[in-house]
Amino acid sequence: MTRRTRLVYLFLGLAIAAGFILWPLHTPLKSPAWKTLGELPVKEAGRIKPLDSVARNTLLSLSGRQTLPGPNGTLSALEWLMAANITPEEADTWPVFLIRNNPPLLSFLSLETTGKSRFSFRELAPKLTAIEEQAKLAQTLESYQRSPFQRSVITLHQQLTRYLQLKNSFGLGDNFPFTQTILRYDKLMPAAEKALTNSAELTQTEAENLRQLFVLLQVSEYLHQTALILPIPPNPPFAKEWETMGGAMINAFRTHRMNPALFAWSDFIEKYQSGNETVWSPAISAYQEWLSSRYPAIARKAALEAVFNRLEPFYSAMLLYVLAAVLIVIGWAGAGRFLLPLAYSVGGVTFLIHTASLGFRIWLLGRPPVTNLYSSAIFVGWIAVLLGLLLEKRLKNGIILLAGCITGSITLLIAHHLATMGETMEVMQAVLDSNFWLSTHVITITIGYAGAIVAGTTAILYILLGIFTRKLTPELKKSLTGLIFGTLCFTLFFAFVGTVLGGIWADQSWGRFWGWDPKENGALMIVLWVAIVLHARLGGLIRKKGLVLMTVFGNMVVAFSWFGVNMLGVGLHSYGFMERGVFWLSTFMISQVVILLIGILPHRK
Amino acid sequence: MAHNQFKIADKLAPLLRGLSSLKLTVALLTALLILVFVCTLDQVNMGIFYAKKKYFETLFVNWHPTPKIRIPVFPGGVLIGTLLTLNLLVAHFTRFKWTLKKSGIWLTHIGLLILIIGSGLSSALSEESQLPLNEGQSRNYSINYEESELAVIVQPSETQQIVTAIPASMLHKGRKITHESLPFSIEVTDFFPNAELQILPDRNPLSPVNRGAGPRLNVMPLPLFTRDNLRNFTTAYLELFQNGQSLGVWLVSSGLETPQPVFLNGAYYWLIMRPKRTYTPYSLTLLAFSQERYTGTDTPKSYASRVRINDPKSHETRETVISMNNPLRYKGSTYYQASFANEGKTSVLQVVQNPSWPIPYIACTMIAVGLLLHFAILLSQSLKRRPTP
Repeated sequence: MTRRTRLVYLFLGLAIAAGFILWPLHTPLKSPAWKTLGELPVKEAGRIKPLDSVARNTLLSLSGRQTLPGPNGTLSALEWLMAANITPEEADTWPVFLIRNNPPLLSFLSLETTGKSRFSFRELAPKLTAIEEQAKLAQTLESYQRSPFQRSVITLHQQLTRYLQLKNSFGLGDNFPFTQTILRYDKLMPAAEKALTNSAELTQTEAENLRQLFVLLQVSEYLHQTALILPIPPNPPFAKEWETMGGAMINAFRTHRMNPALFAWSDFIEKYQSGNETVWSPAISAYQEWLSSRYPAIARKAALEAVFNRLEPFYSAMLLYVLAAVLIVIGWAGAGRFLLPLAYSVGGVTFLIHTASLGFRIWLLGRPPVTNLYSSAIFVGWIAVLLGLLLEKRLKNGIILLAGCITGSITLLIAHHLATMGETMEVMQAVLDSNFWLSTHVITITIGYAGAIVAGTTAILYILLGIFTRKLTPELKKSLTGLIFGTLCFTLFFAFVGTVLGGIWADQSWGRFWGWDPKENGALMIVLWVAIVLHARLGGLIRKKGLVLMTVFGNMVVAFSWFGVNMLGVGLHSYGFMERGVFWLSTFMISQVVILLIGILPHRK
Repeated sequence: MAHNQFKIADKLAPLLRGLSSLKLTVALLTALLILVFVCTLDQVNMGIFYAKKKYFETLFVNWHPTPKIRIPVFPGGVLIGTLLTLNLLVAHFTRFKWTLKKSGIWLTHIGLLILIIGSGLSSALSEESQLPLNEGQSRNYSINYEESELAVIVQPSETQQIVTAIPASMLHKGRKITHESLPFSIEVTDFFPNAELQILPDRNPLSPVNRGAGPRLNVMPLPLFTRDNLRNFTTAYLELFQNGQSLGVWLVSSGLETPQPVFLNGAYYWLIMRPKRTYTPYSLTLLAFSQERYTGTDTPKSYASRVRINDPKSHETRETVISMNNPLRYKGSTYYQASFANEGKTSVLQVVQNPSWPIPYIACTMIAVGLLLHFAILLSQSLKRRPTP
């Protein structure tokens, strides 16, 4: 290939990838004012993030989607968040709460058991007390003792609580003119001062002002206890931490110093209630300007995260990996020699996007790339594609890159679905809060997973090529099994070192090198399995076909170690029980068994 | 004579060949994989402590159709570990050649041997216990809730205690115990590894107990709980004798938290069944426990205990902080911040004594370096064989 054709392919790949990546931006935001609102930094679940992230994550965790079908077209998560706070009587009727295939729960809620899967708060509200009672009862049991009904009622209770907390973030709807009273705070205060020195001489207006202040304080306390979002940035030395609206108001009473941000938010919400964008948009721009001058770094970070949310680059990368894989397969089928280089180019450019997005997450969180199950899926995909690209340089037949792209797209798909469980950038539990061990143990073990899966996917391709095509020549057999063997060696090294580093972390933190914790066992099982395969090959117990079949079985070992043990709900490593995960894991296991059975069949001659 | 030797060698050869074979290696590794898998699954039914006992700290995994009968159904961790060690040793002495090409394999396998031996040593030598401390409280012992001991305590003065402790593992029905520090002998009339105690309104007519707190209690024997969060109450009937004369029958149980007095020769001997204690020549005092949460959430950010070490022997009194990932190491014991209880008023420290702790570090380094070396050798060979076009 000449240098010029190579450049042409590169540009084609770039153009395709850029199209995919920028596609989400074409959906118009309602207006610049909504963009500004979405980019405003707030604190929620212990992390500073744009309001847009709060809206998306909360809506995802309640309804499994990032948008909502509204009365007049699709609503963004942010619009839903604002409506839930400002016009709750309307938002309460929107179908938000996802209850999937759960007849016992639905009949308990006296809801229709057929047809729709999302229900509005209004539909659930009559059963609020009953749900709370059931959830409390279920919580007295250990998680493994709970019935599916009890588990789902606990989830629903958590979701309802989250929704109520969300609604209490910026006021109480129409029940009490919270923000309006905050705005009149300066006018109300003199009455309080006077009452403290000389209570007998209050005029009627002053007495009324005093009453309003009293109610404001009560409401503030209530909102402080129940709000989800902390929108008010610190105002040292009077306030050192981010605060809820209510908390900031109480602080204003205590310190006689109103946080300018509290005033700005109240002003914005008062104007937002008019429902007229031209009225509230100057308020939000003014606050954003003030914030950018006061906390430039925080404001910039939040704004970038909001853009990142809109781009959803991992989702685009998933689609692009699928595209690259399809191009390779069509190229093999003989539909044009130009498709393979184009596939390399698309795969390579997508890998760069994948890398940049991973880098962005690292910068945003100040954490190593893998901090939870979601990010482990993203990282496994990244390593798999990296391996595919590096090894492709040696083999140059597209097979290993195809394996990399398939693994990349599937792991990103898994990540996409894991993200529907809610926040993907949550704060670290105290036990896990160690960047050093996160970046050594977790990374190496995850590289081990990736190696095993790339080997396993290559083995699957080997089987499929042998059964369905005549392309599996003896030379290809040799080079593929050699490749699988090499990748298994790579896997053994990283899985072993990762497991050992985990042991060292455990020894440093709990005083035991090895505790037979399920996740440790899972990692050990990968090491053992690869060791078995390598020894069986060395002893001549298996040849090429045996190696390939055993490597496919390794996929199941990895799946158990990576996801299966988390579903057991025991030990320090369990991230919570994943109902739907069990279904998908079982499906995966069955698919691998089917491939193993196909693999036993004789090859086409 | 020579003829005889030849015969032995002849008979040994197939055995050695079998012991050194890769088939055995693969079989053993597969058995280990299955064992690890089943042990992981079974942790849904039992705590890690008992799962470890059932699958790894045993020659065979037993199936109990009834509590009395046990049928070995699968090799346990000890058996597999021993056979793997033998397999590896014999293979290296018979089959392997010491060449530079194989140096990575050698290093890996020696590391593995050390690791297997080290894990055996560690399960034999290491001791884990807990140290719960309320703020302001001092203790010169840690507590192992998994095991019980029968303690006889004499208090010659306000500040002094003489404790004679008998591990519950030594107690069984009919066992007679004498000890030079005790003026009486103890006969175990009956013993229950776990039991529930019920308080009756009147004296229990079925109970043989006639002294102490026991006569009104009814003992309901229970199977051993194997979950991590359920405690077993070790319970026993004890008859005490002095010079062949019975002093009465007592009921002791780790469910009864106050010691029961035995008055003898003008002194009180206090009887108690309690979680096993390990005494230290120094004491730890919890000065303050703090927990930090992420603002606006219930997620803990960090826990920390400020403690004072008071060591009269080495005249050492100092303060230190134990927090997550930051343990205190003092005189062979390591104190880790494990958890807290009592809404944050009690800090729970995990105490580990494990003299064999460096072994896995050495072994794993050898294995990792060995693997890297071996794979590097393999890679360079394959690159030499097939130069990239």
